[in-house]
Amino acid sequence: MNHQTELIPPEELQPIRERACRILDELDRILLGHHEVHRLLLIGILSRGHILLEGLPGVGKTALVKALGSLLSLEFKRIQFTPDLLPSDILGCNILQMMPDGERKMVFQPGAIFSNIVLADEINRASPKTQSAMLEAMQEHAVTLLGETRPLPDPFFVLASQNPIELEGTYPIPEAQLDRFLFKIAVGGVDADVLTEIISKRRRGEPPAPTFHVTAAELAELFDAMERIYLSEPVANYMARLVAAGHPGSPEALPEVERFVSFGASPRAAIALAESARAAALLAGRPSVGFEDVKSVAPAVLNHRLILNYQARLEKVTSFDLIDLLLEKVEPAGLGLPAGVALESGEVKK
Amino acid sequence: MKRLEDPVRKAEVMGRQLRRRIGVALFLRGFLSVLGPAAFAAGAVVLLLRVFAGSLSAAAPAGIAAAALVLSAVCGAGMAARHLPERRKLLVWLDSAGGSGGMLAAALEVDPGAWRGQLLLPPMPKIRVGCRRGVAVAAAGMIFLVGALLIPQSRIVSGNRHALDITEETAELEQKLEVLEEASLMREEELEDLRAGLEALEINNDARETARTYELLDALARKVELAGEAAGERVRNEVETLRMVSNALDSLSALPLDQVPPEAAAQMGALLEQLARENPELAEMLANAGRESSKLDPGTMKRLADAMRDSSGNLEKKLAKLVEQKLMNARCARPGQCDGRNGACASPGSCPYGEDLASWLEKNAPGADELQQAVLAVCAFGEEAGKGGISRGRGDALLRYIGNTKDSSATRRDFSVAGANDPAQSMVVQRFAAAPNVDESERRAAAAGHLRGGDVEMEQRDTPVYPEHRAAVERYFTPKGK
Repeated sequence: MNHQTELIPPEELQPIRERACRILDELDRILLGHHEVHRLLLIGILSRGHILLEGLPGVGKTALVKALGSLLSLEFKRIQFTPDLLPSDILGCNILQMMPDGERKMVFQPGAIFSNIVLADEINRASPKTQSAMLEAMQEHAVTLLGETRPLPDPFFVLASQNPIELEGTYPIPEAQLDRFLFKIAVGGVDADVLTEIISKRRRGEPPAPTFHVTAAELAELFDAMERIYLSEPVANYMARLVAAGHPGSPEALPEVERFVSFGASPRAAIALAESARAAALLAGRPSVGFEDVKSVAPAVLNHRLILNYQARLEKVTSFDLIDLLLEKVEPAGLGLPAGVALESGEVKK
Repeated sequence: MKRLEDPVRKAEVMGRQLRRRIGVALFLRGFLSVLGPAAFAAGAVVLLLRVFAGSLSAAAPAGIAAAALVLSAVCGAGMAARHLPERRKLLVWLDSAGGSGGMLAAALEVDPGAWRGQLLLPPMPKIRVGCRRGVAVAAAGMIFLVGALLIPQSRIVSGNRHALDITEETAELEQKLEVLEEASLMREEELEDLRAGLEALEINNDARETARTYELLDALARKVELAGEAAGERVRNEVETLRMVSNALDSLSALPLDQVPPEAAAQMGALLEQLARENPELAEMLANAGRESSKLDPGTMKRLADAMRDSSGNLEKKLAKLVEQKLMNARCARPGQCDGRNGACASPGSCPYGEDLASWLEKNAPGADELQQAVLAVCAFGEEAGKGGISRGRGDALLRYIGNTKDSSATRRDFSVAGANDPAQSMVVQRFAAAPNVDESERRAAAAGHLRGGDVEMEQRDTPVYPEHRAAVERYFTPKGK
């Protein structure tokens, strides 16, 4: 529930926005040709969400996460997921240790997950048991071992990656666990111009080092500003209708959804949509969430949450197609005009 | 970009205007979408009422049409009220369309503060209403309704498959009415009344009630016949009047001037004036003939008689039409021969110069004894010469051309056959105001000679006399020794 009585003033919002944009610009400078991915990644970070990056090997996923960790001055760890990886390898374990006084004690040895940013590389190669341990920690922001709960560092982000082409010997992440990722971002290739620039200007393709770092205090300010981005009731209603329209069987469901979708997005998706839309508004320098912010993040939020049926596979309908349809058909203002009546806005000159 | 002083306030004003426009658009759409079916339903009701309840008063169809319109308007208003968006939602729409980034929507809940000046408003949007199909259906419905209101009742009834086939009878009646109308033999109100009856008959033509339909048809046919007979009777009386008057005028004009009593001329003038008051046509004839009621000279009388005969001829043509349409008995159409409507003829072939004219004068000019005497004197004078008679003597025979014989091919020369006016050859024995008392011996002699006046059965022969017989006829009538 909103308790704000006024919007964050421009003079307060502007420096924060500039800082966020500077991070984005720096990411664009370090890794060429992936501006939208960088924007969504930053939005995910500002929303304190976990992100699943899907892309072919060598497109710069690991480099991106490394650069982000470096920029934000956050502790960064990478875990290469393999089939024999055990939960204790990630979470940590109690080890019997001899104390200086000769006493033997069980001492907790934290796993790789105890870090601000964890890169879970090729997460789908680990066994479901290990994946579950990881995903539980992602949700709880804490690790419980032998009845003792240990909080994870704050902020805590998991940036997982998975390879979409090698399916042999992998354990695809169950849909329920995919829901815990704020975004699923497809990291694609780059065009010839960008490749030319990479080859010609970067020795062995190594990205340049960041020119500045965001301190913890500055990052905290960013998170504080996120709290003050106003989400009005009509925009919240739009997000709710958007998510509801993706549920087959709901009154708002589109015919295409009824035909191609087995399960729609969860309420967690609506929450994720709201949070990421706030971050998008912040990046755009607006004190309130707008409909265009929702539209800009909706594909990343919803694409892994709409579970399509076999009919969709047969007709090669993707979740992105359905999301585009939802964004087109679900009216932002919810005027509820009858079919055949429409408002046609003129061009807004800026 | 249009930066406003107080964009929130402007947006609210814009929202109100937009809401009004949307309301009107929704009303029109709803109205049109309901109007089509309502008009079809109203048209169907009107048609059903006209088919089953006969012709309606003008108020009933108008009421049904008005009800359809009112119903459409109410439904349109209801649909508009149901779908009319809230003003707040319209402001949100303006936000989404104007690219305010949710600030306008947020401004509805919190104070936008310094962001107030950053709010963007789009221009007033256009409202697109897809009602082409509704308009088409509404137009079709209205055409149907108007058609249902305007289609003639007779068409509706004739379309009834349970109607009796009385087209021949009604056509015949219609033709009779047309004849009566063309001949101006009936008053306009009477004609309208009969036509209304004919239309009512077509409307009420129902094969399921055959007896009633035929009763109506018979009643109407009888009404038309009565009207025709009455009209024919009037015409016939007029013809008879003209004929009698012209005969009387002829009779007077035929008398030598010194034998026409002045009182008879005065009484003739009075009679003409009296008749002219009842008959405008006769009055006009009198005016055209330049008559002075006190001075009826033979020339004026002759002209009047000719004019009356012409007029009588026109009227007889009308009578012929009535006879042709069987509106009148053919025998009754001949003046002077019909005593009643159904052809109870009196003394066919009787001489209009004689007793008929006398009785007519007695009836129409009572007290004009001198006039009656003068007219009968002509009869006694033997104007119908050639027919003979115990008191009339011989006279000029009238040549009559019948059949296809035409006088135009013959050279004709008129002259008076000596005899009638020649005292040496003929003489006036006596003039009677009525039929003379004939001596019994004379009567027997007449009977023996097959002459008129005998109490035995007379033999009559109509012998055609053609122009080539003229010489023989003249020879026959020429006194011997001349």
